[in-house]
Amino acid sequence: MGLYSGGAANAARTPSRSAPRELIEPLDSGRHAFSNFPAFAMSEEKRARQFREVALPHLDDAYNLARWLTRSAADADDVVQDAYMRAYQFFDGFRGTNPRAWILTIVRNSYYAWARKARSQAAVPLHGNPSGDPDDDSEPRDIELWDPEQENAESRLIRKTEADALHGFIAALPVAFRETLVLREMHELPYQQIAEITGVPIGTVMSRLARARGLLQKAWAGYREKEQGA
Amino acid sequence: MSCAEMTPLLHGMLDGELDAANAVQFERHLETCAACAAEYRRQQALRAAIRGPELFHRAPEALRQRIEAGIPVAAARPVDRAPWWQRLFGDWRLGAGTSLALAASLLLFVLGGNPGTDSLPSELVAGHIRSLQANHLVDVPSSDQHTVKPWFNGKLDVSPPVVDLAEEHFPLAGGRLDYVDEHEAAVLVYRRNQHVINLYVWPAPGAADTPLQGSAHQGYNLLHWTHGELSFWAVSELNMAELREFQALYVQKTQ
Repeated sequence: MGLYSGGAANAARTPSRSAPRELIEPLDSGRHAFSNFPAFAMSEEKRARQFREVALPHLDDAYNLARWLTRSAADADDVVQDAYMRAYQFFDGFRGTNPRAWILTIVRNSYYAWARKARSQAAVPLHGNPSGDPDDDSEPRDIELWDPEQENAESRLIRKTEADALHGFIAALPVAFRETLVLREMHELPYQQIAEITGVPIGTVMSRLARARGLLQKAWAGYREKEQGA
Repeated sequence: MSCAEMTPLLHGMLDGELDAANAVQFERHLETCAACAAEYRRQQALRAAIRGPELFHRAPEALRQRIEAGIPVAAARPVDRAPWWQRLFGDWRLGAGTSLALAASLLLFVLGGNPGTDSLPSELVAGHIRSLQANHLVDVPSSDQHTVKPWFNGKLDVSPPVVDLAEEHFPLAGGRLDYVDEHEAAVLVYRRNQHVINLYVWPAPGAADTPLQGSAHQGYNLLHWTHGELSFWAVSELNMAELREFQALYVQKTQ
């Protein structure tokens, strides 16, 4: 059993701490009113149609989050596909007013399930950097997203634009910081929803954001200084 | 307020999560502090760069088609057709108990590596300041001790003594979970007029009772005591006399 075993459970099993409240509360009106009825009352056709309406508009969000979590296009494909299958399977249980947060929660759970599986199948760690592991607290205290000593002609070529450089810095963040930053900046979620999706208190969301931004700011400043000097 | 105390406000401001009073306070500070104003501008510029379209990954068309094709048009339930989902389903059935430990362990390294929170009082004060930002004060808003106390059950291995002190003009506002000094802590929130008192409680197994110790940190007052193998820290912008009055009432009413 690996150290990590609570990611999916985190959001799915402990409502008071982590499951978005709005995903639990029944709706009193609107187009999701069907969900007040037992699942078997809904025909498969109707269920599928409603799932399309509710879940498909958030596919770009789902993919972006998966892409930043996995840091790989192929793996993001797998994670999103898995997430949508889970979402469809659990669709009868969806009572919420916020399908986007619901989908993002499931994408995150799928990612951690995938990461656990990938780790258990790998004989040796895939990365020297433990940042793919959500509960790895062996993270060095002094994280450097950008090391000028390591910068060579090849990596300079890869980082041909500022956006590419920033992309690399965000990807180098430990996953707990990375997911918080991505949910805040790219998905523009409020602290409360990020706390619910990631299953931590709001204070932790705030400290992770501050930490992520501090690290990025430092790397970004170092990079720009070097580029302008070069 | 010092610049160190501005850090939580800076991010709250950037994220539009400050209430009016804190936003005004932050803006006033920026008018007088070039360093914080520069940091705020740098963070704004970084945000603009992060939000650029180059960094948002849209779903590839092939994936969209695959997913659409995976949603049944009619007939059988997908779970019947694809039993491997049920194996995935197993991942959702993991015990909930580990999630607390997970959240705690994540926090240990987040807080542990935080520069500027090297001492417990500054950590407590930072937690107090964060709690004053809009909507972050309480997880369970209630003036009813019989609501607040059970709320902590199962979330913490400590059950803090909870008492409403409304009659003594320290009404209970609610409770929340926090992490301090590598502990999960119960926080009871009391009010005194417009002021807030955060009372942190966490277990101190085997610890002897200690007398009351008062201190001031970054303009906030702190009171610390240990009783019944629980460690207590009261943090507030309230003056020390009133904070001691609160502490005496709390101790008296919970014994």
